[in-house]
Amino acid sequence: MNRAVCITTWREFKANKVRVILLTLLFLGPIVMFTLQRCGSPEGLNRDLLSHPLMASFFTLLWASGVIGREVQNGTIALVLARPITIANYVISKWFAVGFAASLCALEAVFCEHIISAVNCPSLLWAPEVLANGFERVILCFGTAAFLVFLSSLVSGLKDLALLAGFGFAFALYSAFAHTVYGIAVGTAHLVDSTFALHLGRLVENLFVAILFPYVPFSVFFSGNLFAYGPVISLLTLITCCLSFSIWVLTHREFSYAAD
Amino acid sequence: MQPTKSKGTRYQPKGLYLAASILLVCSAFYNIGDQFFEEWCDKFTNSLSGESPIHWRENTAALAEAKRTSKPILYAFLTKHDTASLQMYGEGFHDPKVAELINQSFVPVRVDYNPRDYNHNVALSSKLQNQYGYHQSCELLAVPAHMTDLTGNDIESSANLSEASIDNTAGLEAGDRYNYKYNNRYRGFSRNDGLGFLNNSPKFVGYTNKRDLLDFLYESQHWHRLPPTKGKVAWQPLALATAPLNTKPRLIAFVDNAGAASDNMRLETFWTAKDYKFINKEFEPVLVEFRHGDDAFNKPLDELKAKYGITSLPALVIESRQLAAPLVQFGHSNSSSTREFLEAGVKKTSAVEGVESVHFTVVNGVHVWRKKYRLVGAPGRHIHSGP
Repeated sequence: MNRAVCITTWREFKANKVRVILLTLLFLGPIVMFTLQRCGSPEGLNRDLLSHPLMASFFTLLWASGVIGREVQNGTIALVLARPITIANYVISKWFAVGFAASLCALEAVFCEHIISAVNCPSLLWAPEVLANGFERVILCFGTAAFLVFLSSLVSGLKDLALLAGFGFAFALYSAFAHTVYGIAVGTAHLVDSTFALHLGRLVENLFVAILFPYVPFSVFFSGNLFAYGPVISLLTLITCCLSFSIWVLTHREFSYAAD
Repeated sequence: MQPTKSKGTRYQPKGLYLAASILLVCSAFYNIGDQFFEEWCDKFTNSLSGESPIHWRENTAALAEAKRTSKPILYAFLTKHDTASLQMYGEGFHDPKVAELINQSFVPVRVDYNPRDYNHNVALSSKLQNQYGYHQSCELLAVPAHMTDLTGNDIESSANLSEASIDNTAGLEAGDRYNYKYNNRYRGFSRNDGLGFLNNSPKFVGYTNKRDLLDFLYESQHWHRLPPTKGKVAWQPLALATAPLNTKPRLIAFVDNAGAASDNMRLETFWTAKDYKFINKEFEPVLVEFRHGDDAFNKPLDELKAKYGITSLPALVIESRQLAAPLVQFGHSNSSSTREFLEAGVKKTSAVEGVESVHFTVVNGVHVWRKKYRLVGAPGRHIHSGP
């Protein structure tokens, strides 16, 4: 881990006004929505209104988009790597910086939402939901950050957003198409093994979900004998594989000082 | 001069690559095994397995036990690979307070559903789905001991004022029972997202938290144990039902203490000011109340039912000296329909011409009300045929 790379990443984010504005909107959006909900219905006052942990993915998206690609585009990566730092260290530092910052933002957001709920209804102050929500956000931030760092290492500039959109589109297309495949598979059971096709379809779907939404439910994670192996293994695989691929791609790439 | 041991810029972290490879293999093994060798993998990965502090029963044994002990059956519909079900099972059911309450006050039955069971071989799950019509992947349903043969609509329905959230102290009339403000203001567990303890329902949908679950269990153990309302009709003693007719026409109302149709009749016709005032003015009203599933209690009343050819509940019978045969309405649709039946009955007893040919059909010696409404609870349209 390189402290200087982390700090530079955070400073660079601060310098980008568009991102700061988007971050503020993302932060205030749920609070405004819950305030309106409280004004509209009195029963909202005694509930701990917290946004979904999925919000953490959006915070990560803000922090991680173009995190390496922009340095490649600007040519600053060549300058950074002229220092005594390995590409592996650089990538892991970028991943940690993004994951940590996004986690902090996501936790701040849920903390503010919780405090507002607790002010309205003091008995909610020690509600365990906020702890679970916070934990799930941190997991999501670091998982999503690894995937976005990988995408960013493949291209220059903000083209990683296009890759992400393409990936999401492929998932949407597959989800829509999968049902037809299932239907054909079941309808022609005498020709093909329909169960095999269905299982295969589910497998691909799980792969998409594990990459786009690396979610580990809190209560399942800490439920003793009910330890959910699947989501935890998927999360660790996603992080290590994305970082490994990212390092491998960058170590096999030539960097120039000129922008492409 | 000693060479420095610093790593090159393009240093390959073999440890990370190795860890990634191992995890990738594990993940692939897990996911492929989970899809194609499910039974074997279940030994290690099925999160709904393992020891449970709740003493689960088989459905058949539970039905018998519920009848014997009068405890409600708690059906826990859990879906494999479903997050809410995992949370319900892992966090909710493993909580000592929740487990103790369920073991003490309910007869718990676990209904597992596997979405990958593409042939839908789970007989109990399908059977209960048909009967109770649950739709969620994770759901709790408390079925009172005397209502195990009824449908989900009947179980959710209640004619008890407290359960129906009617603020009787404020003198509210029918219609106000849908006053959600009352419910939302005084009962903190209502939610807008359709999860948790739903208003006035023995259902708990999805999983929210332990506090909501405990609220639900405390409330649902008493569901349908309180008597349903008789409305504001000035009911005459039951003995009058078999006594000779007086000058005023007699209205005999046959109702059950369970079932959506009977509940609606109690809350709409017997509770609405316009209707009960009309009944009190025009009729000698007699209420014949049955207890669902209590054969010993119902036996003396069955003769009265047989006299008018009533096969299902609720039903209304109008008798009068002016009528050659009694007028009968089977079932109940809404207060307007019943009101029209009562008004038509009054006109007919007053010998107004043309009424019988339009609204009544003679079936087995009685004039059966055949108005335009579809009557819920009429013969052939109800899952049970009455006690």
